Amino acid sequence: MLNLPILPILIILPLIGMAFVLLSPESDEFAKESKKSAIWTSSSTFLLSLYLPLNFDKSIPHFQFVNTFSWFNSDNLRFSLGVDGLSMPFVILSTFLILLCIVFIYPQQKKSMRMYLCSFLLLESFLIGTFSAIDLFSFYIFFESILIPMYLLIGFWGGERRIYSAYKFFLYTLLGSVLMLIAIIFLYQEFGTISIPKLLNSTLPFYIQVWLWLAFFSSFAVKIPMWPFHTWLPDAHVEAPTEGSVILAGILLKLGGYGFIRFNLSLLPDASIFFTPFIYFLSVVAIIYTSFIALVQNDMKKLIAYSSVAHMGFVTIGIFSANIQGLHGAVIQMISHGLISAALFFSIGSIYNRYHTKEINFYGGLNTRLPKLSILFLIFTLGSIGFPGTSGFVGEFLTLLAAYSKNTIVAFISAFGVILAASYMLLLYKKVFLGVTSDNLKKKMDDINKYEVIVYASLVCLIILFGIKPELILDYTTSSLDRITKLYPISIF
Amino acid sequence: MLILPEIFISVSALLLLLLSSFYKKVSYRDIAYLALIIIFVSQFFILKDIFYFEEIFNGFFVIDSFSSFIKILILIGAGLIIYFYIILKNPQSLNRSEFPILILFALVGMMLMVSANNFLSLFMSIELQSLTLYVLVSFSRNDFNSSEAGVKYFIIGSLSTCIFLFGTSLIYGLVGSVSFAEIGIFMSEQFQMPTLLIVGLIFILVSISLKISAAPFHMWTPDVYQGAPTMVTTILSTIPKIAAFAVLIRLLINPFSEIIIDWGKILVILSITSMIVGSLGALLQTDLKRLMAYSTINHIGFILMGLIPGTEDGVTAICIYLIFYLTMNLGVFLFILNMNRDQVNVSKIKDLSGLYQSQPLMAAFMVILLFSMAGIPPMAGFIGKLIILNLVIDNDLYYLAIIAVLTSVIAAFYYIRLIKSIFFDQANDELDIINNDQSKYLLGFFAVFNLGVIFYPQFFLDLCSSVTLSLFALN
Repeated sequence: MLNLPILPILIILPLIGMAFVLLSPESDEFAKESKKSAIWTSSSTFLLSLYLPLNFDKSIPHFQFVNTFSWFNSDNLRFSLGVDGLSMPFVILSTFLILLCIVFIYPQQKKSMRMYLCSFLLLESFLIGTFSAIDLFSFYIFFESILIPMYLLIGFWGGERRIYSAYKFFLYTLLGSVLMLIAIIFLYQEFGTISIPKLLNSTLPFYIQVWLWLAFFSSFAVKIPMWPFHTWLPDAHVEAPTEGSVILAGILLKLGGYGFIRFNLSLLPDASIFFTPFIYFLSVVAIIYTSFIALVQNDMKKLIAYSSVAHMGFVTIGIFSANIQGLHGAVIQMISHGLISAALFFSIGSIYNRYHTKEINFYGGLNTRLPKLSILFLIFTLGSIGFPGTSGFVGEFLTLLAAYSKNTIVAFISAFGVILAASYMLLLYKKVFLGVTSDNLKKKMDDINKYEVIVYASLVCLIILFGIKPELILDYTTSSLDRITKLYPISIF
Repeated sequence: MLILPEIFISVSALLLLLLSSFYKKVSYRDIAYLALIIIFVSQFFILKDIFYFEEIFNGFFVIDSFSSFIKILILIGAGLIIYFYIILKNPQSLNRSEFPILILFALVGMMLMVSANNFLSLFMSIELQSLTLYVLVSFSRNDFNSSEAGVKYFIIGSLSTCIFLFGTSLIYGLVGSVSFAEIGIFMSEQFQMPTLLIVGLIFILVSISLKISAAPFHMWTPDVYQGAPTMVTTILSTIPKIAAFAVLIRLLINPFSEIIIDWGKILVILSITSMIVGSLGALLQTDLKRLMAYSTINHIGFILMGLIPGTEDGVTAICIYLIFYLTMNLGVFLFILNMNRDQVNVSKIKDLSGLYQSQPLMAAFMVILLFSMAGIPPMAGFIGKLIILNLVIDNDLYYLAIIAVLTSVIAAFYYIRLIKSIFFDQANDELDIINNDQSKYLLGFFAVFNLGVIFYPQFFLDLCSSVTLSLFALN
């Protein structure tokens, strides 16, 4: 096995690609050259990132592929990268979804295409950095840096109320994460180290844990987002361009769940136990309340956005159940939601590109116009509902199982969320694709093009593959998650 | 000859004054070039003796590595500003050879301020610096706003002087000396601190707060910043602030370190109010220069936090922040100086709109600088804030840290409002394209500097911690 500094390469590669995109000529209208460089960059990053699972030692729960760079000259302040079973799937998910986004962009035409592609490559670099950072400061730096390209994406290429939404997105997330910064500095002062593996072996008094927990919570609860901190999400989704929504729902929300597992649960277990009922309450409310809100939406993207909040409610229930099923369920649910919501946003983007509206009432009987897309959308809808055979089912089943073993009532109530998900998603499908063909859709449109075929085919394959064989992910995550649950104290909840 | 740089600058400034008045052939631009050379040369005088420590003129002044470092920072800032003056097309009223000469005199004042080791010399040098700055603020004498700003600045400045003298007289009455060293000895001998001493210190703190525009003594800042010619605003917002900060640090660390409990509380109040005023006040501004004034107040509040523990790490953190502050502010002001529409200088926020469409590269540089000011990683501003927050939390001042980060979120709002204008808004009437290569390169340099600090912040930490050692050598 080569001893390749794979993670630094993965972070730097998109930045090099960015330089190529910027240097490519602006003259031609479709910015073909820059798109080509972006595709080359993102596909090679994706292929290189596959090096991680291929050379990953599944039996080791600790961080692998560790690279450390001196940053501040002291031994304790180092810039270190590495992945374990928990973060590795997310790195792959990031590189994969960015590649799909760029493939999806390829046939399109947009203002300032080069900057658009650059934002995605920048995002890719930061995302890989966030998931592979194993010291607190570099995690924070990457985590915060993501705001910059995302703010520009929403604000520059978004819809009508883009500026309001971009502000809201930026300030909400910044407000959450600055408190985390204080917690991080506090941890550094307390233990003299910022390396996560070292911090895992340390214990803190309970009353300090509570404050630190709240500080981390403020950041990740906004990011994931939990009810009642979710209000930025529908706005950001509705106004963001299609690819922006894909990244937002597909990866950025997962940062919250990842952070919960990595920091709240692993570093502050006593406080996590203390706050578990609180989390359960918020999650159950999120699942039921946002599902009802999703039922009455008239904007397709908004509906999916609210459904994301509900799905993330399952994730938080799974995480704070803190047993192996719960954590497995949460990870699977996050990965599958990453794929399914990305697929749904891509499909809505495809529809929007053809008819230029996201209003549900505008449509009806779209299956006669776009038959292929309507079949694909059905598969994604079923995945979102958690239909057995899709990856959505595995995640929801495992989290509910975990919740049941801890608290029957929570499991009972949140199971209604599955039914509600079925009702709003099928209602959406019925209103948009079934029934009499609406008068608005007189114009014949081309069905999906070859680039869209690539995107949808790969997503469908993965959704079904992980639905049938979730071990593909779980094999990698088991040992790392096992370690977390073993360190976790036994709770009474 | 440790005071050589000051002597050199003052003598050459006098010579330049003679030169400009007797040789009419020498244009203002030549004088500015000469001033630039003088500044450049005097840096070597300082660098030569940077690690010396000596009290001169019977303890009237002190030369140590801290003062030398701050002087170099000031000289670099002043040199860059004079370079801006040379490369840019200035309003006609500024094109007089007195302008660079006055900057040189202000520089002498600031350098003496930084070295002052005695209330008398401190007062003298503060006055030298302030008087030249009053003239500079009202330099566009036909411009109503500039004159108004000059008067305001003068009144507030003389008020500050009065308060300073009053505080000094109280302390002199008690101690019987104005020398910092003797005040320090007096205090270490006291069993219980006399209240009068603390009252005197409060007066002096108020006076210096007026100089660094820490809230609640900030009222003059937005008006003066807006009214003064932009070139002068650039000066006001950078080098006098650094000099006044150095004075504050020396004063509080050296003679008054015994009563850290008392001035620590005052600094807490000053920094909290500055951060709150600086972040909330800027929200509704429409003028970039006014906004920068509030941004300065906010940064000042942040920097003041570093002084509260009164430790070596704190002063190091402040020095690092000051370096970043200098580069960010100079970068943004260089851009504001370049904002012209139809050859007329403009400075409204809405003038920025559509900048990305017309000049994408400049927009990118500006965005990096603004994100840096907002303290978003991975820019330099974040490193500065991180180091100060680290220090604050190290000293268990959690409430201060929380207020600091919350206000910096509010502050981030108005920085990203500028970015919104640059990127998202459509321009009704575009700005003139910057066709000045030097300013493009300089702006690029500032942006790249702010972006590059993250890779090797240790350099700044080493540099600043080595220079601050001298301050604590006495205690």
